[in-house]
Amino acid sequence: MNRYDLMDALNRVDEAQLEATGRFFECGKEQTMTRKPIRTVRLVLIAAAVMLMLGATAYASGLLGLKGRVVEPEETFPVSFRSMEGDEEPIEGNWTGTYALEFESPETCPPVRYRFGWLPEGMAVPDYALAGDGWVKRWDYEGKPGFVPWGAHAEVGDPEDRDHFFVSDMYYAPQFVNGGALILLDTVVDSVEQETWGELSVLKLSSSKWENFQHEQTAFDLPRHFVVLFHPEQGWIFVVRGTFPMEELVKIAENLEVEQTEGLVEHGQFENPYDFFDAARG
Amino acid sequence: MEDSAIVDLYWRRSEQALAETERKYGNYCHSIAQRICGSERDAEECVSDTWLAAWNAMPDKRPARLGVFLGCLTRHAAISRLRAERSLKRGGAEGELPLDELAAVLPAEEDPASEAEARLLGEAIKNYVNSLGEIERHVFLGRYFYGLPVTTIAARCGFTESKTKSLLHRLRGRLRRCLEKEGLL
Repeated sequence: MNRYDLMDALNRVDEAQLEATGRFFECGKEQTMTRKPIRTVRLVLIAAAVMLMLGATAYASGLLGLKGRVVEPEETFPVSFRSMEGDEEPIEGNWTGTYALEFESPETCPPVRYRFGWLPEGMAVPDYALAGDGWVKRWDYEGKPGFVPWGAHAEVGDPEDRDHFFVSDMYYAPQFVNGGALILLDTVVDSVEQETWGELSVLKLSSSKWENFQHEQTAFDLPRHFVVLFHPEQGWIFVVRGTFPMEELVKIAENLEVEQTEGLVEHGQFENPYDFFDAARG
Repeated sequence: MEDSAIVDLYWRRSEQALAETERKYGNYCHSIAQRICGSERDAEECVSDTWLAAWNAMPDKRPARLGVFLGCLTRHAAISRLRAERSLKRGGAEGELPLDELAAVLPAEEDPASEAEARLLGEAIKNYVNSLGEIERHVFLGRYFYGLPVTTIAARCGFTESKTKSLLHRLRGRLRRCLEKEGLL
C-alpha cells in the first residue's frame, strides 16, 4: 500500500459526509475566483488597480522617503541577471510588475545585518538562507535565530506545510535612488496601509490575487501579505512576506533587530536600479 | 440545471451533458484537481479526464450526488496522474501537497495495493471517518479529500492555523492506529 492508495481510498467515504464537508467549506463557490476567463480577470484587476491608485495617492504624503504606487499597465522595468550556471554575459530583458516602491534617498548607507527577535509558534527553525552566490547554510538552531548576513535571503517555513511560510530580504535605498524602484511581481495588491514606527516608514500590503494565473504554486489562492520597513536615514529596506497572517508578519517586523556593519553601500555598485520581489517561496 | 436533469442527459447520450457539467461543476472539479496536483495545467487535464470518465460511467451509473461523484472521479484522475509522474521521477520533489502529509501515516513507501487490499483500505477509511466528530470530519475531509489549504480550513472553523495543524496531526495519528488495528499496516 502507498500514499496514492490512501488518497484514493478516501473516495469510498460516505457520499453524504463528503457532500456535507463540501458544503461546509463552500468548495464550488470558492473556486469560481480562480478559473474565470482571462478577459474577466483582467477587468477585475484593472478595477482593483484603479481603486488602489486612489488609495495610494491619498497616502502618498504620509511616509518619509518611501512612495508606493501601482505599476502602470504598459510599464516595464529593465532586468539583468546571470543564470544559476554562471553565464558570463547577463541575460537582459524587461519585466512587468504590479506595485512599485520608490525611494528618494540616501545615496549611500552602511550595510546591516538582522535577526528575528520573534517568530511565530512552531516556526523557530529557518530552513535555509541564500547569500549572494548560493546557499550559505541550513540553519539548525532552535529558538532565536542568528544574524542573517549581508545579501542573504531568509526563508522560514513549516516543514509540515509548504504553504505556510514567510520570506525576508534586506535591500538598500541607494540602489533605487535616481529613478529606480523595488518592484513587486505577479500578485495584485488589494490593500495598502502606511504607518510610521518611530523613525521607520512602514508599508503594509496585502494581495489575494495572482496576476499570472498560470503560476504553479500549490496554494496560489492563499492571501499573501507584505510588510516593508524603510529607515530613511540608515537607508535599509526590510521586506517580510508570506502566507502568515498580517498580524504575525507585523510582529516579526516589530521585533526585528538590525545592526549596522562595516562598509558602505553606494548607488554605483548596483548593476540595475531596479530589483524585484514576489509572493512565492524560493 | 438540476443534477438529475444532467444525469438524464448522460443517459440519453446527449453531448449537452458535458456542457452542463462543465458549467455547473467545472470550477469545483478544477479546484480539487489543482490542489492535489499543484499545477494548473495538470488540473485542466484532470478535469478533461473527469468528463470522459463521467461520460463512460453514465449509463450504467446514476449517481445520487453528482457533485460528489464528479469530485471522486477528479480525485482519482489527479491521483493517477501523480502516481504516473512520480513513478517516472522517483525521489522527485515532495512535501508540498496534502498527499505527502497523508503519506506520513504509512511506515514506508510500498508497492501499490491489490484490488482486495484497496477495498479493505476503503472500508477502514470509511469506518475511521464515521468515528470522527463533525468538526474533526470536516477538517480531515477538507484537507485530504478536497485538498484545502490549512489557512482556509482554520478560517472556516474559527481555529488558529497552529490549532488546525495540530488537529490534523492528531487525526493522522488516529488514522495510523486505526489502520494498524485493522492489520493494514
